[in-house]
Amino acid sequence: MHELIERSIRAFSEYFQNFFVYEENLLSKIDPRVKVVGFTILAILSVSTFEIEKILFIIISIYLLAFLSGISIVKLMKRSYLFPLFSFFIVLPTMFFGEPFSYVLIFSLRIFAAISSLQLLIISTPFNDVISALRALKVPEKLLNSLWVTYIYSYILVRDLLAILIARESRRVKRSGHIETMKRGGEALGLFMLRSMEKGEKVALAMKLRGEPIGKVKGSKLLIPYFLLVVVWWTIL
Amino acid sequence: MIEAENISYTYPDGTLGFDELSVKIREGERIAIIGANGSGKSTLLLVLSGLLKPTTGKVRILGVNPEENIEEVRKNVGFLFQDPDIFLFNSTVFDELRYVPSQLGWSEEKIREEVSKIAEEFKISGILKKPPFRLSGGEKKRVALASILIYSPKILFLDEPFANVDAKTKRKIFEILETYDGTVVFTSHELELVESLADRIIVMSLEKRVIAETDKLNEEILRKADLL
Ligand SMILES: Nc1ncnc2c1ncn2[C@@H]1O[C@H](COP(=O)(O)OP(=O)(O)OP(=O)(O)O)[C@@H](O)[C@H]1O
Ligand SMILES: [Mg+2]
Repeated sequence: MHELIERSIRAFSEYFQNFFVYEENLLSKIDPRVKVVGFTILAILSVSTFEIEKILFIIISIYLLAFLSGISIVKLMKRSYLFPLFSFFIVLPTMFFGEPFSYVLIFSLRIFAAISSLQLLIISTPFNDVISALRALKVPEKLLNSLWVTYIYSYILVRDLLAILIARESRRVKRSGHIETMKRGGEALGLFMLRSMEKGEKVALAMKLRGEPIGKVKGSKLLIPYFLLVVVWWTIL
Repeated sequence: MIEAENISYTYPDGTLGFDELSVKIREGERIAIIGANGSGKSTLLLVLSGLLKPTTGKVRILGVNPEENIEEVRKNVGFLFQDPDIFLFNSTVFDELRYVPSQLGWSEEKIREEVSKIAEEFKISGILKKPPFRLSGGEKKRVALASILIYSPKILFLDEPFANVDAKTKRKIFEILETYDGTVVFTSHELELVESLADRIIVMSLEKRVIAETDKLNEEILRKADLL
């Protein structure tokens, strides 16, 4: 069981690391501003309807565009499936309240369409170009700052989490019991959060020293570990 | 002891960790891996120790395939991470030191005895109750090293054991490695220490390949490795 837990965390962490990787393809040459607006609209469209034809249409358009730009369809799917899968399990219980299964399915498909659209943006645009594009589109500076800090910080966090898991593994010489593992795992996670906060402070401090306006760092610094914790435990459950 | 054939490793985000290579390490050998920053030393160490599964090729440690019998491997292998921050995850230094011994079923008495012995040796007796992540960089390294050496693994993998420590600690670590009764595989940027300690030096290039295996470094090799 605990191996399954660690494996899920590891898979999640690897998934997350992949989430922001950018590569050169035909789409990368297009003005980031266009891509930001376009793909955001597609994403909003996908979640604003429950008509299956419309959703399928968007999905097909996105993957067709990916195919035409030389982006591997399998790769795009791999980078997009996890969140819809989450949402599938979250809305699954609504069936007990009389919603048909098709509702659950369509709900997840909407998320899949939206995430695929944003992924197509991310896969073809370096993250700092996305930020500049948003700036050019007059998105408030404060918001951009926290977005950027959130991005760097969660990237570091997830990379650390993966490294810690490997380090823990290096000293696990014996299979331990279920409860012991949960206890230790909980402890380690708690410690990880604590250290992450301290690291967050250091990241913020370093940015300040280099003259970067920090904006709303404080809030995001506290919220990210929280979200991460929720998501990680959620993966486990 | 360790046999790796045609191994390579690619990180989940697609970055090449190191390119295809083969290594054979015999019992009792002291092997150094050197190379420029980013040449793949840490990654190679992680794969050779069975902690990362190679993307291609196979590793055997002590005659065992780590995927089949990981516990046998872990019991006999100690790994010092380059960044001690990720390595120390217990809530006190004492817990850190006893982490593996208690899994191995040592008695409380023996654990206490061995902990105080090794703490003495590494000058960390005064910080046994502190949380490791609040220590100084050099203290962390000493704690990490002590928590591996306490169970005398047959094979030591040490990623930059000499980095970030003061001159005296450096000498101490050197002496321990020089007389260690087991196999030692380590990375380091301190070429003089490397030459006097290692039986064999594996040199990696920025292309993330092995460009030489030697017991004596020379200008040509260092130039090729982008170290000169
Ligand atoms: N977690 C990771 N995810 C993605 N790429 C990584 C990761 N860790 C290392 N790399 C990449 O793998 C390559 C080899 O890195 P590695 O850490 O093995 O180098 P190294 O020789 O140990 O360098 P150094 O002397 O700086 O410690 C580098 O190109 C590096 O950017
Ligand atoms: Mg390294």
